[in-house]
Amino acid sequence: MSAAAADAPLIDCREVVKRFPIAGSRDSVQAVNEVSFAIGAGETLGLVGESGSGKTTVGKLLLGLHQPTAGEIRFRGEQIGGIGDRAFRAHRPRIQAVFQDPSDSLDPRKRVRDAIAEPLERMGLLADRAARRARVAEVADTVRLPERLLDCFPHQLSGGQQQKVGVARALASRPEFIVLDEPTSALSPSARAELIAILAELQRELGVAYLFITHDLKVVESIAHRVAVMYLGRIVETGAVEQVLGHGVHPYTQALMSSVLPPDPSRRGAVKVLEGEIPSPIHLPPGCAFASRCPLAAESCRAAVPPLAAVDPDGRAAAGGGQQVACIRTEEAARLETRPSRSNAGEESQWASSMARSR
Amino acid sequence: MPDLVLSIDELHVGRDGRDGPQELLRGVSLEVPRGRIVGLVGESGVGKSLLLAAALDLLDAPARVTGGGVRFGERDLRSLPEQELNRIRGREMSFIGPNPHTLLNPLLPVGRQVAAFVRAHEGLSKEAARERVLEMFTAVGIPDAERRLDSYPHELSGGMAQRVVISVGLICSPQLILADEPTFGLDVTIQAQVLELIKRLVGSREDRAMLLVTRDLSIVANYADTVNVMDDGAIVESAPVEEFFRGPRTAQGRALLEAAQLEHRPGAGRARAGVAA
Repeated sequence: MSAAAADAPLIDCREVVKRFPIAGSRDSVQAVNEVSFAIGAGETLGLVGESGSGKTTVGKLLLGLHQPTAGEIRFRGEQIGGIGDRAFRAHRPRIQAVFQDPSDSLDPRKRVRDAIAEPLERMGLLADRAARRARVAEVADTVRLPERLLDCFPHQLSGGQQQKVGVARALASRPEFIVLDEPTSALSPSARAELIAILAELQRELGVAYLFITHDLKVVESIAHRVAVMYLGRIVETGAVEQVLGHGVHPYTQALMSSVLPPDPSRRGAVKVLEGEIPSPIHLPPGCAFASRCPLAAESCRAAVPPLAAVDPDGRAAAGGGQQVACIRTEEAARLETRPSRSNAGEESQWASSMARSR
Repeated sequence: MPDLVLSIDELHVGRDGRDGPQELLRGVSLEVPRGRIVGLVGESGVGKSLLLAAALDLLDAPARVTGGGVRFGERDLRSLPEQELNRIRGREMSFIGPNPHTLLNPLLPVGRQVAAFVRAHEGLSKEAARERVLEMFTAVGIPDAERRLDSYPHELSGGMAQRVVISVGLICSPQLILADEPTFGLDVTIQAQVLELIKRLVGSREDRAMLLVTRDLSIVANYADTVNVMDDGAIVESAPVEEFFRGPRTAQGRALLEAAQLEHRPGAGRARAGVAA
């Protein structure tokens, strides 16, 4: 490894653009627009936004399943964006994925044991059968999948167990980075809680980094270190999870957070409904893409795309690092009523201790 | 008018399995008073959806009711002839399910599907039915409703398709709505839109009521009046929503609430960042 690579973040995306051509048309779907972010070793970046915001496309770009239209994607300093399938194969053992629907991504005719071993075979790792068998047992144990299930078929497993198989498959080749695309969305609440605990434990023990893609803000709040909020192909706000989800400045972040229902009937009526839906990514509106649904939108918002700029929690311009927001009216936005209130005392202390832990 | 829109009394559902008869619902009793939203919660596979199917008398063989009764207002649903049931289902008692794309016919424009439903139940003319559908689409917040009548299901987003399903559930102005995970898989923003809409529509008629089935306790906390916890084919706990959230009395209730609260607590699953910024 070169000296430059040693200092480089694990994943570094710069100004990544992805457009999909539309057959028989000169228009294209502008799925990802100038997206930049970095992920450090052992870190989780949560990527949130509504359906159609482009978050899954970002994941597929990092996995080499799509080629970027423009921009750079680097893994340990080495370019991996747009290098093609063959060249990407060399990185495959270190960059893995877990997808949403576990029953969809498992071959119904393969026993669990073979499903976990399959990626090792394909990547030509552990040619020795006994070694491979041992590795399968080892990763199954790591994800707390009972050994007796290894000889079962996927349909004999619950959704939570199937998703553990998905995680075990991804882990088999000892990856440094895993793209998790809505891994908990199809699970029941208890299975979801268990999977989150397992993923967090794996990260502590193995130092693996995650890009955690989800529309479920509660999940992201519990597992991510940093968050990027996407809207119509752009990152509109990014920063530490407690800043962005606790003191979000962008009106869209605030709207997302105030749509989350608290499991507490005494806080009824706290939900503020964001009207309308995400617009079409084919004909992007000029200026800020959120202007059509934003309570603060002014004429100037529709003039130019607002750049991501560093701000403090009150929306004032700040020195670099920390929270970044793509909005030209951040000071007004920071005073919006939709800001999630963190008034509950019990929650506040939990908040403080979790911040202390992550420092 | 009776105070109970729906009352399920000691309902047993069973089937003949390979190892003899198997009991799927073990004496379930549940009451839905008018004007109320009654929540039914529990893990996957405990029998929530089966209970709805039994209430609608739409059980798939070999499952069948083996005991107990279901009353809709003053009528005993189990003794009614099929013809009578067909008049009740969809019209007086409707169903809103998850996953709108599996409930809608992909080959027909959504406006025609909903119109066919109204015509079957109310014998309206084509024009009158179209007019009713247009009104309903507007009421459930489908923008540009006139144009959407001619859209096919695949042309609609999940949130829009779910609004179409809700309009089917409400267009005949039913007294009872059975909703099974009506917002599963929707974005939080769209979930909030859809739930607020359902709440408003249920509240728009005094004698209307809803049985709301979900695994998500946050939905129950914000929209239901009472909570029923189901486990292994039986209701194990039943309480007004405030009382339940102050402290569930059963282990199953506590487990569900703890899972919901854990999810809602920041940082619960966060590992210490290694080399993170």
